[in-house]
Order: sequence, then structure tokens, then C-alpha cells
Amino acid sequence: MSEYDIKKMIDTPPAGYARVDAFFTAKANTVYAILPRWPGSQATLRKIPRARRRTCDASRNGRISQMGTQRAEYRRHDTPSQRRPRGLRPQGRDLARMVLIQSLPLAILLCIVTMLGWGSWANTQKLAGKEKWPFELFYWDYAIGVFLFSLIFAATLGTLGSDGPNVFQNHRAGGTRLHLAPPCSAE
Amino acid sequence: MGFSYGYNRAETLKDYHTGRELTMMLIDIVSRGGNLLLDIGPAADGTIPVVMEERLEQIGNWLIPNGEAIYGTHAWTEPRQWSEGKVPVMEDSSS
Repeated sequence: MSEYDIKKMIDTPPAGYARVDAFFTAKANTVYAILPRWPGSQATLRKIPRARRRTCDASRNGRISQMGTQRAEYRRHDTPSQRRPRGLRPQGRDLARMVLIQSLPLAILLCIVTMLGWGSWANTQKLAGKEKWPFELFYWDYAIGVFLFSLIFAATLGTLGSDGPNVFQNHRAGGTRLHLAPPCSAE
Repeated sequence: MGFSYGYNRAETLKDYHTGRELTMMLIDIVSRGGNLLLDIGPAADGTIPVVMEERLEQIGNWLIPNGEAIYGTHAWTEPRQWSEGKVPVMEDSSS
């Protein structure tokens, strides 16, 4: 193993190989030992002279922990019994998620379906018949229909999938400002 | 910090070193008396991709409490302490 692979050096060494327990740096009369992993209750540092020492725990973003002076006969010292940081936990219940298209053919097919949406105003107006159905009523029917469809999609494609944020999370991310924006004053 | 030296839009998250790996690389280099030269590739419009910004932030967050052991230090007589087992031959040929 002559390549430089930091992962193999500190976390996943090949079978039979050693891994780095500590890195050392020095400044004036101080030798710093930086530990890649939280060592538990004790850390043994070999070949360290009697000196003022501090150890940084690189396994988390903790503060520098001041170590006691070394007991030379044991060449080890106790690490402070700090609580490990709690892992990230999902906040609240894992809500439903949205449907995200993963396959290219299906995505292209849906693009074509989208094009049907382009013509939906003109085509439905033709279907309704300009003479039989007044434009104003068609306008309302179309707007309400689009709104109802958006609710249906929110309740189906927006929540029945397995990926991404669901429709409610998306709304929260948008914030209330977006929905309640006052009309801009023209100047 | 990714697969390519510059920005490569074909890279995925798997191609990037984690913040921990990059921090370890920094520590390893400094413990051998060197400086870490870390490439970040700006996008075509000059912005720094968020994933790279995040990595830099992660290294920086580690350095806030632990920078005392990095800044202004030099290599000690030994750069590393190994656990039990065969010590791999490194390209810098130090133990």
C-alpha cells in the first residue's frame, strides 16, 4: 500500500494493517496529539516526553480538552468523561414524501403529457363551445378546475411517493410571506 | 476535494471527500510539516458549489476549537502513532 488514502489510514485499514491512533504536531514546548477517534476513557500515547500536552479529539468538533500532566510510568492519561454528542435524529414523525420520477423514459413521457397541459385552456374552451358557454363562466370553471386538480395532485403525487419533501414541507419551506404577499405598489 | 481538479458537473457526492476525510488530510499533512493545498473548482459563473462550501465550512468548524494544534505548529519527531499491526509503507516513507 503505497498510495495515499486517508480512509485506509484512519478508519478502514486493510486486514492485518495498523491504523493511525494519533497525529502529532508540535509548537514551542508543547506536543499536540490529535486523535482521529474518541478513545474512550483512556488514551495511551507512546514515546511522549514529559511535557505540557493537550489532545484534540478530531472525531468531533469538541473543544480542546486540557489533559493532565503525564504519568510517565504508564504513558497514558485519562480523557475527560464528556458526553458524546447525540446523533442527529429525525424531527418528528417521518412524513409521507413526494413522487420523484427516476427513469428517463417515464420522464420524457410526462414531458409530453405536460404539453397537453399547454393546450388545456384553448382545447377545453373549444370543447365547451364559445356560443353555448359564456367566456366569464368558462374562466371561473377553468380556474377552479385547475385549483382542484392541484389539490388532487398534492394529495397523490405530492404525498404518496418515497423521496424528497412532501407537499406540506414544501409549503412550510415557502413560508407564509409567499402566500400572503401584498400587491406591489407601482411607483 | 472531488474527483477532478476543477469543477466537473459529472461528479456526484460519492466523488467528494467527506469533511472528516478532508480534516484528516489536513491533520496528516500538518503533522508531517506540510501545508495542505486543497483544490476547489468554481462553477462557470464563478460561484463556489455549495457542496464545496460545505466542506470548507466543516474544516473551518473543526479548526475553531482545535486550530491551536494546527496553526503555527511544526512536525514533531514522529508524525503518527499507529495501532497494533503492520504499518503500511507510505509514499512519504515515514512511519
